Amino acid sequence: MPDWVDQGIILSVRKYGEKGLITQILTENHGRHSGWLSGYSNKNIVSQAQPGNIVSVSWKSRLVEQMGNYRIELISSVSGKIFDNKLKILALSAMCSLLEKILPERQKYEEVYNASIAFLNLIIIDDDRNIDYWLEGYVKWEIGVLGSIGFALKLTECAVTGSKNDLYFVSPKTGKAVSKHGAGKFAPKLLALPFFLGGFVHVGSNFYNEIVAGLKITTYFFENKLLASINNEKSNIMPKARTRFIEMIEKF
Amino acid sequence: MSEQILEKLIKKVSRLPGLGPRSSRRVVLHLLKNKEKYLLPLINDLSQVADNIKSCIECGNLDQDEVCEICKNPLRKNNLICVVETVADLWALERTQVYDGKYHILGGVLSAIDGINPEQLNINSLESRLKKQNCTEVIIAISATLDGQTTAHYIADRLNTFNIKITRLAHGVPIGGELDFLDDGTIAQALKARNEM
Repeated sequence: MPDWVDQGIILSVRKYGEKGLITQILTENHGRHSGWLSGYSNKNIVSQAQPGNIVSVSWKSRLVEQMGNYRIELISSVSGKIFDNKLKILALSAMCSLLEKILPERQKYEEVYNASIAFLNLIIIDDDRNIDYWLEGYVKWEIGVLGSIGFALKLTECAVTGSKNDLYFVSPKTGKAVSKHGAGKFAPKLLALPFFLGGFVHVGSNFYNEIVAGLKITTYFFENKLLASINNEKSNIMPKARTRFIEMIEKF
Repeated sequence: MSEQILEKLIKKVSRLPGLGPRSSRRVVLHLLKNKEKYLLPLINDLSQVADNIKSCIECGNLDQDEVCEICKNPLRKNNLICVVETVADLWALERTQVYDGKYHILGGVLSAIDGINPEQLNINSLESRLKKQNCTEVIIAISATLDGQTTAHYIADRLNTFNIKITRLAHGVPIGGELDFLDDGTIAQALKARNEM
C-alpha cells in the first residue's frame, strides 16, 4: 500500500459530498498532489485546510494511481494571519490558484515549493510601513516560478547590445531585457521593465504602477508562452483570483 | 411495479443531506410502517412548504410571505443590516437572540475555484436596499475562510461609496477554547482584535 509523509501548502479545497474535501496540496517532495480529506464537519479540519496554510501531510492509498486519503496537521496558519489585509488575501488566493493551474500533478518542483514558502513567510510579516513592499516579493516569486517551469526571464543584460545599464524593456519574444538604445523603433512593442526588477527608471508615478508593470510581464509569459502551449482553450485563461488581485493593485 | 416506486423513493431520499442508501431505506421503511402518524402528515407538510415558502424579496430569507417576518417586524432596527452567506447562517445568528437588526443573504461567497463571481451574489440588491433604506451600519458576518474574507473585503469596497459604518464579526478565541489547542492564525487574529478590560 503506497504512502508517504511530506510538508506542503494547501492550494485549494473543494467540498465533496457530506463529509469530504478534495484537497490540492503543493508538497515539497511530491509536487502538486490531490487527496481526499475527510472530516468536513470537524471545524478543526476545516480551519486547518485553508488555502495558503502550511501543513504536514500524510497520504495513503491502495494504489498509486488513486487519489488516496490525506491526514493533515497544521504547521502555520498563513491565511488566518492575514485576514485583515485585503491585498494580502487576494495575493494568497492568486498564488494558490496560479500554482493549481500551471503545475502538472505529481511532479516535484522543489524550487517552486521553496520560493512559495519564502513568499508565505514574507506575507505574514506585519509591516508598519504604508507601502506594501511585499508586492515586489510576489512579482519576483512569479518570475521564479516561470523560470522553474522552463520560461526563465533574463533581466540583467540587454539582449541586443549586451549592456547592463540603461535597461528599459523586456522582449516578449525572448524574455530578455532590452536597453533603450537596443530597442530602437521596436520600443512600443516591448514590455516596460520596472525599477525593482533592474529597470533604469521608474515605471509610472507610484510604487503600485511598478508592481503592475512587473505583473504585466509575468502575465504575458504565463498566457502566451505557458498556457498557450496547452492545447485547450479553456485553460488559456489566467485564474480569476489573480485578475482580481491585479485589478485591486491598479486602483491604488 | 411497487418495488420500482419504492426503489425510486429510496434513491431520492438517499440524496438528501446526511443520508445514504442504507439510512434512506430505514427512513422509508419507518414512514411506511407509520403511515398515519408520519407519512401522510409529512406529505401534507412537504406539499404546503412547496406551495407556500418563498424567498423574501427584501433580504432573501425563506418565509410564507413575499416580505419575511424579520423584514416586516417594526421592532427590529431598520438602520442595521447584517450580511450573511446563507439562510442557515441567518438562523444561526437568530439563535443568539442578541441581534435586533435586519439581514441580507448573499447566497454564497466569491470563489475562484468554484467560479462564483460578484454577479452571482446578491450584492446589487444589497446596494439598492442601502439606497432606499436609511441604513447606518452594515455588519459583514461571513465565514472566516479565505474565500469568505475575500468576499467580505470586496463587499466593504463596494459599499464604501455609501458613507455608512461597515463592520465585521470578530475573529478569535472561541468560548471554551484553550489557547494551547488553537492554531497560530486564530491566536494572531485574537491578539490583533484584543479589547481593553
